[in-house]
Amino acid sequence: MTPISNLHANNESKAIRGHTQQNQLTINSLPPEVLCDIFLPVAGFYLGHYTRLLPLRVVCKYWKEVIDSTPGLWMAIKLELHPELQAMILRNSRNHPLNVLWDETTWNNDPAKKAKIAAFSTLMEPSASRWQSLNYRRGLTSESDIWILALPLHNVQVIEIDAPSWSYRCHTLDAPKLSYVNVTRFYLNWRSLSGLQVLILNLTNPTLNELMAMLQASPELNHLSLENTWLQVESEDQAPTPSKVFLPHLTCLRISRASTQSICLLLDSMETSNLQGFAVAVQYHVEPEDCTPLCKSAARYIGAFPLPQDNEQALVLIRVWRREIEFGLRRRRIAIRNDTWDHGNGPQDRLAYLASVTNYMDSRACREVKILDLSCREHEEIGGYLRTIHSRFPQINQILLKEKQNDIAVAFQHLSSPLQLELAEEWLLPKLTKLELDLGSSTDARLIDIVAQLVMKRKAADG
Amino acid sequence: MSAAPQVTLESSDGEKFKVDKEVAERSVLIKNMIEDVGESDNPIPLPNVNASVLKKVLEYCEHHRGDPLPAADADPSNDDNRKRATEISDWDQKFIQVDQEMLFEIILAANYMDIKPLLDVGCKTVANMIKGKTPEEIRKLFNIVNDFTPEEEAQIKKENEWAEDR
Repeated sequence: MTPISNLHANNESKAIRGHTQQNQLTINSLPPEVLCDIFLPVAGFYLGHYTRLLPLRVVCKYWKEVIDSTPGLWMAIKLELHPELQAMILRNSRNHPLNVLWDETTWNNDPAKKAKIAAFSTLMEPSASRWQSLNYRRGLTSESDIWILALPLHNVQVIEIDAPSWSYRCHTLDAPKLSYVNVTRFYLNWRSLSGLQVLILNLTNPTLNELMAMLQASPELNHLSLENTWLQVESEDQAPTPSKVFLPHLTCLRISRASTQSICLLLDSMETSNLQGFAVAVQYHVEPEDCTPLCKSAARYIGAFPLPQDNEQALVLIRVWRREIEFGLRRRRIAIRNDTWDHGNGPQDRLAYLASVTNYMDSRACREVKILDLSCREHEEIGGYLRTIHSRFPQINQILLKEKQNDIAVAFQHLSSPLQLELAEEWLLPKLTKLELDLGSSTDARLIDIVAQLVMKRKAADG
Repeated sequence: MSAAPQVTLESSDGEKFKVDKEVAERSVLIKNMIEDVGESDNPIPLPNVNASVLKKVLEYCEHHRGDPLPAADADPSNDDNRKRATEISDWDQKFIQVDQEMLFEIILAANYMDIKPLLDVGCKTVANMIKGKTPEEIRKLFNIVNDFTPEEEAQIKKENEWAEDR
């Protein structure tokens, strides 16, 4: 066995530069790799800004040498940078990965700028296999996407694309390491994407089957967000019904403004076991759809058991406005907005939807809920919500009320007298022991009386 | 209850420090040494760290003894993001309020002893001293000699103009 006293010799590569000298230790006694660790935070967190880094090269020859020979300081390249700086970045980054920021959005129809885009394209082409991320914002009339996305992007892991208008070009990517895709108003050959961990689509429209093919090919997916993404359902003679896909790593699922039918099909086709965040939001302005099937499909996710093991409180939330209802268990929520509720169907629809969701939640998850967070602007519906919650969440012992004092008063009236059942009477939320009221700036003394009455009546009922 | 296992560290100037093994093992260098040779009563020599610096380093290790250690196989991009961030905790800020020479000694010791969190604190402290300063102010702050010829300096300053977004 090596005597411990001899071991220090093994670490000579880290011997302290200048430390054995008698002269005073200065910043330039630090080895290059340490100096580089100092320059990284000075250069800033936001990649692609060299205004802080370049002045450091003026300090002395040693600093310039360290900066120019550290590829990690030259990882970002942007279209709008000076061509000489772009060349310097490509030179100093050597063979290391590059983050490419290609924003053409302010460059429309300017011949000089079109020439710059062409020059940047030529400069960048040989480095395509080094790109590790691409943030591309297409100009209104630009066609650079045809050229960029045809490159061999063999090491690209992250692609973010934002287009100001639709084009019907459909790109097939040659990007086998791609794991993060965030696309707005842009078509890709969706079936060519696989191995994704994050998929964010906005205002784009793969069909449901194309999306399912992507999910099937991405078992490691942990974040799926679909916003304004219609998910056209192909007729059965064109494509088979999607088969089930199991996504064990999916922790966040967000869908908004898609058709009710497509969301239901998607939710019913997926199995997850690790979901923490879930948000489905639909809205109708003129022709509402029946959301009962959607509530049923969402309930499987909102009420999934077991609840995630974290420090979050086991809380159900109900928010009601005239045209909207939101319901959730912790960070798993559904929101339905219907502008036609102005014309009278709101109350019964909202109550029916809440009942649909709660009925299909796992009752073991319901039994873990201890807190109700209620905010309801429609007084006449409060009793109905409380009765629905009462029937499905027997362990609730705390209510948070955050609405106007009138709503609080109505809620307390329901809680202050028992329900009259056929053979007996039953108190709503019998385990209730804590109230938390957010009265804002209200100083209405009547509320104190109402609270006092509630406490007295329920104490009396407890004997 | 048995006492926590201890090790003895010996500074470059011969001073010995007996510390809990858990504290000493915040240093990857020492952890590897102990793993290589097994438990031993012999002092572990640290020929590149003098007693006053080692005392300071051990103060840091003692305060952070229960913190999670950085993963050896951490994602390089996370490592890079961690280095680019500039936040330093209150305790660390007070700990690192020392004169420049001691600051560089601590950084060198953290680098030599492979204590990444301490190296980060030191580097971020120096980075914060540099931020917002002109090259001339930086030279003055750290007593750095401008070894460029006027022509070389003019050329580099010209290159700086490229950094402005167009």
